[in-house]
Amino acid sequence: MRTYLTLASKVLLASFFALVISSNNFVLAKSKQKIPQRIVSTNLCVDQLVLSLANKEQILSVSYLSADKTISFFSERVEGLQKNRGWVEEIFMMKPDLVIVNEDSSRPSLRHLKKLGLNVLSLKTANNFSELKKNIKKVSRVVGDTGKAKLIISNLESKLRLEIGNDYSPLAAILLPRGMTAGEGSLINELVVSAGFKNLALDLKIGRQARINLEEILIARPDFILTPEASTKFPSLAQSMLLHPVFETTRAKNYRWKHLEVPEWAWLCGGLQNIYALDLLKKARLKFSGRVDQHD
Amino acid sequence: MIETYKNKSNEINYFILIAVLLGLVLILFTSSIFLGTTSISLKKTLSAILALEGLYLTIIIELRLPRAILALFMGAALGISGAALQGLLRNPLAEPGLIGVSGASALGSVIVFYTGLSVSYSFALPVGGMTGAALSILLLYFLAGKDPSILKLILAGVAINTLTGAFTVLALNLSPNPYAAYEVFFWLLGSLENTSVDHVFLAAPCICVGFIILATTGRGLDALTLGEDVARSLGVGLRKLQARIILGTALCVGASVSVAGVVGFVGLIVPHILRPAVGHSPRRLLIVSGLGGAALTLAADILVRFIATGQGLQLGVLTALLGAPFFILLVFKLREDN
Repeated sequence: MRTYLTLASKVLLASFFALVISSNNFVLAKSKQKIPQRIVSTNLCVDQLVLSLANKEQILSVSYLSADKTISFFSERVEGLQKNRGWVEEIFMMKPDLVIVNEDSSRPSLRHLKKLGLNVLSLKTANNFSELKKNIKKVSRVVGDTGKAKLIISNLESKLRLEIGNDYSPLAAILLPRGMTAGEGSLINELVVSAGFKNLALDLKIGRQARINLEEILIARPDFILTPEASTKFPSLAQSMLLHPVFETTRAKNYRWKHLEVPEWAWLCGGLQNIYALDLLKKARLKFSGRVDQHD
Repeated sequence: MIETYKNKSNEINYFILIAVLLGLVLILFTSSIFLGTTSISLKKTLSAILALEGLYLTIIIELRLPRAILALFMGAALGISGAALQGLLRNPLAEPGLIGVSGASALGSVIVFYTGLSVSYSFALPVGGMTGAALSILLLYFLAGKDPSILKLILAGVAINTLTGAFTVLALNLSPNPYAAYEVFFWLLGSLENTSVDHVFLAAPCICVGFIILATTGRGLDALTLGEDVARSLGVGLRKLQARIILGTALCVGASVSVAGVVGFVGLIVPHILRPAVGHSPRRLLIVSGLGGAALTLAADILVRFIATGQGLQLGVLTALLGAPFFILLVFKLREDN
């Protein structure tokens, strides 16, 4: 059932995306010579922005992680594109006319790429919506997009607007792979709070990206535990703690907390895919608040 | 007359030592349950245990108890394996971590875990670790011979450790899971964080069997101190003794590493401290090293919860920090002896 829901929402998002694409195709035709036609992007989150803002014909290569459908919203769209690992040599040999990198994850190669005379745009990791907006605008400007960025931003803005009213804000514990949580100053925190939740990490005064242990989560008695889906085909220890049996036990013993799985592609990086995460979170909160009201 | 008297007093000392170590293990085991990663007051912990219900009890049973049990079993496994290997190779530096047995167990576990085999067959995980352990001891015999000098033993250990370490990293890099590549730290510097009841059921039975096998090799090891010929004349089958120690060590170390990664130096520190206390008898060293190993691992696992709490210090880092000075001390001592 949930797979179908995910599928349906993905189709909806995709059709929205198709609309966005068609809106500025004709503008592109006018000034083709200025617009980069061999874009190389070297970071998962940068890929997601480039893939949503540039036309596929403009993109030469994206990072190999973008083909992984658990973490990349555009895994189907990158079929046929070259996958890179961010190595300076391989990027140089592709003869790109624009390289877009994440400044925080590839500082040394950024220096080399510039030395080689390549046209490089470096983006900072977006840790909140206003930074994301800046990144979207930056990418939009360099790839010659005119309408998509506006559409994506206005859609995200309308979804981010909080309409809780007098509803109860459920307490959510965010548990990410490797036992991390998302605190103040992280994009995930902003999404969760915007959807009307209280974030446990804020109560515990945990930083942007810090470890949280299972005991801390359980003792706080959250209403929700938010985790990504854990891959069972190719497991990792990072994800296996999301499947710790203590979760099943406590739920079986009637502690009133819900487990909500948010797919990693929907909230790991900023972009239009966050709309899916926001919808999912809001729906879960509304259902939960309704249940609380009935009981009280 | 004097001889029997001395033996008797030794025997009494031996049992006192066992009782003291048992007490220590018991105290540390209890502390491990009460001193969790989050402070739950003593009163709440006690009332949860007495009332047999509530969230705190679930936390204790599902999070703290498995961790404490695994620390106990893993420590006992590493301690007795160290003592048995040192007896067999007649070399105080024979330690599962140093000679590559732990590293090979990690490689075996990594292959089984990241290919997804252990998802369908959970028991494949300890089997992978044990296979790696057994193969590495055979490789060690092949490289260093059956009565290796310290130099040969260490060189063979370095070779096996390097090889298995490299293959472990390679296997992690080949996993399609994007998180796998970052997990080499867990496997090479183990940790008991987030272990569950499932891990206990996987590792504990193997460790128990391995422990019993090793604990019964004492007479053979004592005879071996007099030389191989004398041992043979006393009716000790050397091949059988070797096979039992290889099997016991593989069960102990392989199962431990498959659920908690490599925790080094426990098998070096503990027998080294306790050897004088049991009159240098390899037989008596076995059980006390098991108990001592359990105490050391429990203590170290409690300590890591209070050092760099935000970052989750690996247990293997702490035992290495404790163990490396011992290793250096042993090297100096051996140099003087020579």
